[in-house]
Amino acid sequence: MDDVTDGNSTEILAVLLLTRGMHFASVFVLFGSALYWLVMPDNFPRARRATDQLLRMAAPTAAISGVGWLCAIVANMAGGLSAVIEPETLSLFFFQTQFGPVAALRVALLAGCVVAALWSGRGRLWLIANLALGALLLVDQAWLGHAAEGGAGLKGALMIGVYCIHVFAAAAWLGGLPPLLFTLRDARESGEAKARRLTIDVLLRFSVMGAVGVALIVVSGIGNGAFRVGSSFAILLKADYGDVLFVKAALVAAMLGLAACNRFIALPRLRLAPADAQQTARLHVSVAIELVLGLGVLAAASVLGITLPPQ
Amino acid sequence: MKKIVCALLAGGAGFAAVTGAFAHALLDHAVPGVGSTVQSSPRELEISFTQNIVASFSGATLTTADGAALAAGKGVVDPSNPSALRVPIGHALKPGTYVVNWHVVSVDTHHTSGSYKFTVAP
Repeated sequence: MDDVTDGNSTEILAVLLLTRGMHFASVFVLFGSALYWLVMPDNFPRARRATDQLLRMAAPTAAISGVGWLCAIVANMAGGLSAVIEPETLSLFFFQTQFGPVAALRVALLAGCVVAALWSGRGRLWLIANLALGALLLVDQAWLGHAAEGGAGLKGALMIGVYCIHVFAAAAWLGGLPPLLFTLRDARESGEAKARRLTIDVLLRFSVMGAVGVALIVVSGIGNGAFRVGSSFAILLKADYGDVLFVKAALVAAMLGLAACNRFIALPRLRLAPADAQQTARLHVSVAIELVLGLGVLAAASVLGITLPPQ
Repeated sequence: MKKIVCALLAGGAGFAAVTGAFAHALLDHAVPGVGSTVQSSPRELEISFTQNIVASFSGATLTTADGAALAAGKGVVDPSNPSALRVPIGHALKPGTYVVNWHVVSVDTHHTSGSYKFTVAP
């Protein structure tokens, strides 16, 4: 007999799933949406204001869901939600594990998110603060996940580095989609030739970001995969894990397809056509669908995080 | 189709797509072995996992086949092999079948648990 389970109750799994998904989504927004306006020309004041509001919602959401996620991790380890309020368990978690200091740093970063949300400014410094918080939270997470498995040597450093590249690229792409949507809405409602030109400029810049992001995701994904399973990728297809992975793969493939259509079909049409709100409207819908698919990818990632891998 | 898409995914088309794979400490082997029969009572249980584990949230208990708990020492992680849990038994086991119930947290924070049997021969 050799029975193995992931050792979690349904309640803990539900909390892990919910908090992890919300946390990743909000941190992706902090990083990607802030990066968008640091890279793009600030010619769309309404879109920028909408992004500011989104960032001010994302920061406290990241803080609340981040604390919830840490609580769920503690409950998961200790075998019950009540462990979250036990001083002894918390002491073990923060002071007797290798990831305790990482978790403590994360709590400080989450407090920083609250400060960022309350910060009255909205200039570049504020955007940089949001970007930095998002980046640090993404990096910190590496030591709370599988990348920590590599240890302190060169392999460990490589695993952490590859993981960081992967999540940075993904966050830049997915987190950049909401401000892109806001920009397209502005352009669509304005309908002016100048706005159209500015939109094309923004789309071209975003497509460059997207191309670099996808390349980094692919390369770092190969690295991640190699670290995990060597050449035995087939084992990933087994059991429930493989099913979720398949759904996630299909969603990513659909996202890539839409992004390619936007770049190589919709954008050239927009450049050639006379001022036509229809073209912008189609792009708007396409990017919105891409964003919804991206949220699906994040949801699938959350499910994978709590699914026992094939043995 | 599933294989093609997942191969693409393994190539990196998904956000940290494969990063969750094997991110759990699973039972690799044990001494006494899983399902094995030993001729004399072991002094300790040695349970090795597929990943390094965290001592403060890992342990194992020993019961008879019908579920009666037996005293056993606190499990410690082997300093020379951080993926192995050693549990001193501290007393001789009578001939019979025993169940080891283990629970561990891997260094990447995942919790797993399980059980296996071994037998001490008459």
